[in-house]
Amino acid sequence: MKPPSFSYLRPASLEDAVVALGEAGDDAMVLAGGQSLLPAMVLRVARPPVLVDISRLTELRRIVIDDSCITIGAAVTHNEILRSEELASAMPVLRSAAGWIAHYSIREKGTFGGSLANADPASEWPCIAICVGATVHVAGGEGPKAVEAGEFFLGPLTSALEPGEIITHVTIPRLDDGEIVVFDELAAQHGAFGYVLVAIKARLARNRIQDIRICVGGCGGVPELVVSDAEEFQGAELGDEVAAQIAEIAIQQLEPDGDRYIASDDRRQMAAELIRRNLLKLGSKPGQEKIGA
Amino acid sequence: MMTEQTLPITLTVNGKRVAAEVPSRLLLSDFLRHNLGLTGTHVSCEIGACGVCTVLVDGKPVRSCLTLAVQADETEIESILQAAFWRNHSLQCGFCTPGFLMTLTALFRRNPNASDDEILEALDNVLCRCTGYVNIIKAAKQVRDQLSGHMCEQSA
Repeated sequence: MKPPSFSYLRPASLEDAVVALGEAGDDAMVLAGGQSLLPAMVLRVARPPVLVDISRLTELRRIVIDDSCITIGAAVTHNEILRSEELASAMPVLRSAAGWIAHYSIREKGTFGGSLANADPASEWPCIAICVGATVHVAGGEGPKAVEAGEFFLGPLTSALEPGEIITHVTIPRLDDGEIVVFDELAAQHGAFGYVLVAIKARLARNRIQDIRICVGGCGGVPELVVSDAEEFQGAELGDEVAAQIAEIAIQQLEPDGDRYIASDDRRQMAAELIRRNLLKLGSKPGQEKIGA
Repeated sequence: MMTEQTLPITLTVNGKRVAAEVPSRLLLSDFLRHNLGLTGTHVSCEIGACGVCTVLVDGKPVRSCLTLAVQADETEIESILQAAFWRNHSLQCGFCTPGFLMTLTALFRRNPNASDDEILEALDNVLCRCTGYVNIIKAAKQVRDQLSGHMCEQSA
């Protein structure tokens, strides 16, 4: 239960990190918090010959909020997001979602960018990033690029990152007046991997739907944006019936694999129920906080 | 076969300066136990599931089995030196206790007034297979009450 041998590099700047990663070859990996990578190495599922540690790079550890967008550095930890008062007031769902991630000491080291790069279809940030229309900014490789979150995740544990590329930061458009985002998850127990995750961004006027986006995680190889415009539901009053209708329509696009614990259709039904519940919550308590340390 | 890379690290462990040359693949948990003989830190699952190996790095609780010793270069480590759960019978086999104590140390340093819910949330950091958690929660609340009572006296 020890990781295989590797060379460890800790460059002093992002620029140096990009150079180091470029020189280290295609199999080199970026080490941020290491909370998914190190278990994979210990289990010998991952055997990178070179690790480039970016966790201390101050350029990647910033949280900036301006009038148009929220910028979160790739090496910002889950607990830093959870504790940021600025983020909690700009977009409360970031705090409530961070509280769902694993446990206290894992959140101290695990990073926002690392979670996106790891591209686990059942993890929180990819689902939220797609729902809120985030953009992932990348350095290295052929040069800086920006990828929409909706196009960043290609399959289970597979992202649009090419060898030699590093996520630097993520930008999220600020919410307009009246827009709210909620996130919820069904898991066997708090801190365990979620069976189904749901993020909903909506704009309501007098409880009537003006705009709505729903992203579901854990029901396929990537989080699925199952509802992306309000056309069908425009002007509908959000109550029990409409919420159930939206949930039914949303899950028609999901084709989750069954596993030994949960059959495929049960997982779809879990998604439907989670969507229904959270649609009904939209009107009442936007950005309801989860407790976290 | 790749030749083993070793790197020099300098850090502070429980207040003492330590310098060592370590393989890059060495885990912080093994560095504390094997290289420094600090066996108060226990290692259980070794894949980050249980939290028993929790230590504080620059005041933050981390799973030492998911941290490379080289990542702890230039940091300050606090590891478990003694246990104080006895009064509430909060340990049975005692194996997980170091993880709980380090987790609670970090929580109460950050917030000596942590709510019951915050204590519960923090305690899910560590897996205990004996006690059923009830007495651990009791002990944690008692410590919190002592700390916050103490704080009130100071501010009064």
